Amino acid sequence: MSDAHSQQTALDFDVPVVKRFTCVSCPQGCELEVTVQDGQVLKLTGNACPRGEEYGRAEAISPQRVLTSLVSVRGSEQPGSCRTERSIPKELIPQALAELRALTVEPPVRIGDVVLADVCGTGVNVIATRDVE
Amino acid sequence: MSKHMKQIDIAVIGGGAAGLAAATATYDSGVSNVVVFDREEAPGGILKQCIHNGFGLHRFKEELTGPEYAAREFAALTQRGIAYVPEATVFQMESVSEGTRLSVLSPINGFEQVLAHAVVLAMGSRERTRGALRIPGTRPAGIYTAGAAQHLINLQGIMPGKEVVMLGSGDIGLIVARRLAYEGAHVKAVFNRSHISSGLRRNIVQCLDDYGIPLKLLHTVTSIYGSRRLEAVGVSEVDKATKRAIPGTEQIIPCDTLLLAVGLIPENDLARQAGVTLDPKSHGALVDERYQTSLPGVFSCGNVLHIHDLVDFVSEEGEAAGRAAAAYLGAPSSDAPAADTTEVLPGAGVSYVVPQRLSAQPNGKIPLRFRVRDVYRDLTICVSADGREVKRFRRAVAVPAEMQTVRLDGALLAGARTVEVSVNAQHEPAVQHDAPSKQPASCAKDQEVR
Repeated sequence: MSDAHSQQTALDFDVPVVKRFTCVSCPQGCELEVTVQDGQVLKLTGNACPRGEEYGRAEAISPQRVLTSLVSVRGSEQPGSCRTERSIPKELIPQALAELRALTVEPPVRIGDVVLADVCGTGVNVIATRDVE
Repeated sequence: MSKHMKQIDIAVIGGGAAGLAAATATYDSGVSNVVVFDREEAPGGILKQCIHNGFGLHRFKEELTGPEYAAREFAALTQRGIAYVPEATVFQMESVSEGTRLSVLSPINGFEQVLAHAVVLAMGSRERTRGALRIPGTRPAGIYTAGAAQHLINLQGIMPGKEVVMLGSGDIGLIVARRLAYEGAHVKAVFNRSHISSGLRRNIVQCLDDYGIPLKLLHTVTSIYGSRRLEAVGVSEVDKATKRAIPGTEQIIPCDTLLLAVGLIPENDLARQAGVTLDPKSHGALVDERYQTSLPGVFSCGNVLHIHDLVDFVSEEGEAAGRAAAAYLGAPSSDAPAADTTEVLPGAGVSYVVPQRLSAQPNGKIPLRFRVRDVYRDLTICVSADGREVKRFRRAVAVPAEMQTVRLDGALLAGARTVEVSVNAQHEPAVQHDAPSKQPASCAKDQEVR
């Protein structure tokens, strides 16, 4: 924001922002245009079906992803693999990866074991997706 | 001869998604003497290294990672007590009067010859390599197929490099690009020879766009630099019409790693050597609606039959092939595809169809699986028999990256000499290549060789 507009800073939160996404719900790939203001969706266009609306709203307000990655297992050359039990905010992925990188879990690891509880304070656990002896 | 040989009812060659589903289905159809021969140390095939999610939405009604999907499939096998032989190489297959003779080498059984009354081929596929692309230049370390890099990272915990360029935007490559970004590598760009990507749109958005990795369409690697280790690649623009690199457009991009994600080829060396007739379009066996090949009692399913994009459909196909193999044992006289059966042909806009033949009496709902050649919107898929339309299906969109399936009553097609599957639609207007991430996910040219 340039100085010339600094007086309007208080109002900036109220300026509608248009965000554009390619819907990935199906191969049609609708180009969505979502107008957001104050964390609310004002307008959503471009979708061919209700799934597009749902996707566009989520992407505009708080994009979520399931994170899948690797985790060190003590004494094993093969890394363990893991995923978040549910999706987490996309912006937390780098932090979640850093937490996983700092971690070494004790063998044996079984599919479904919690390898990291409450990742980044999201309340979501990271669970193992393969057995490692 | 056969009295000295171990006899089994059904041999399944391959322990990936297709083979595991086929073996389970043969057992559930009443055949218990089934053996799965797997080349690898552990079951699951390529699923083992696919640690990302997105598997199983159709089959298990939940989203799993590859290793989880594989574990479920293998659990079904072990619950039934089906024999699984790891690290087994079937290096010869021969049709004999009593069935099929397999020559197998494995640490557990050493060398053995097995007489199987029916065989399910489920050997999967291989990646196209630099050799297949004929990229000129030196031969330094640092050039991998995307799947090899995925194996290094996810199963061996080894990073293939730090500064990475990718050629081709097949799904494995897109997934690996994100994995590399997660692990701290710098993926400089993904170059794609065609004007449309062969990867699924979801993967382009979630693996490239999310991490700011540019996708450059109509570009290809034309030079390799470096002696011991890769130092740079030369990338040229590609003429959309001629599909050739444009001289004088090469730019040098420093990198230590080049990954190739340029398509998969069904691995049919064993089938070819045994005399199984292959379809030059799908690169897999020519099969009828029971997934039976040109050799009686030999069935084919999964990526060795044709390249799939969803494992759920691989499992479905494996089950169907397994059931058919079990049914063949019950009535081995049921004839192999003969000259007087129905021929299924790809028509306008369709690159191949599986099955390529129908038996004299196709029963029940027959799935016809195929790929389209280009991006189509508001299309009609027409199935005709001897030139007369028997059924049409409407679709909002079809892209080469996604396998299409239509299902219709076998009775509608019975007795026809030829059945044709074709697409009626307007082509997608030529896409602008300055906004690559917005491209529809497809690549007609790559698809033909996949």
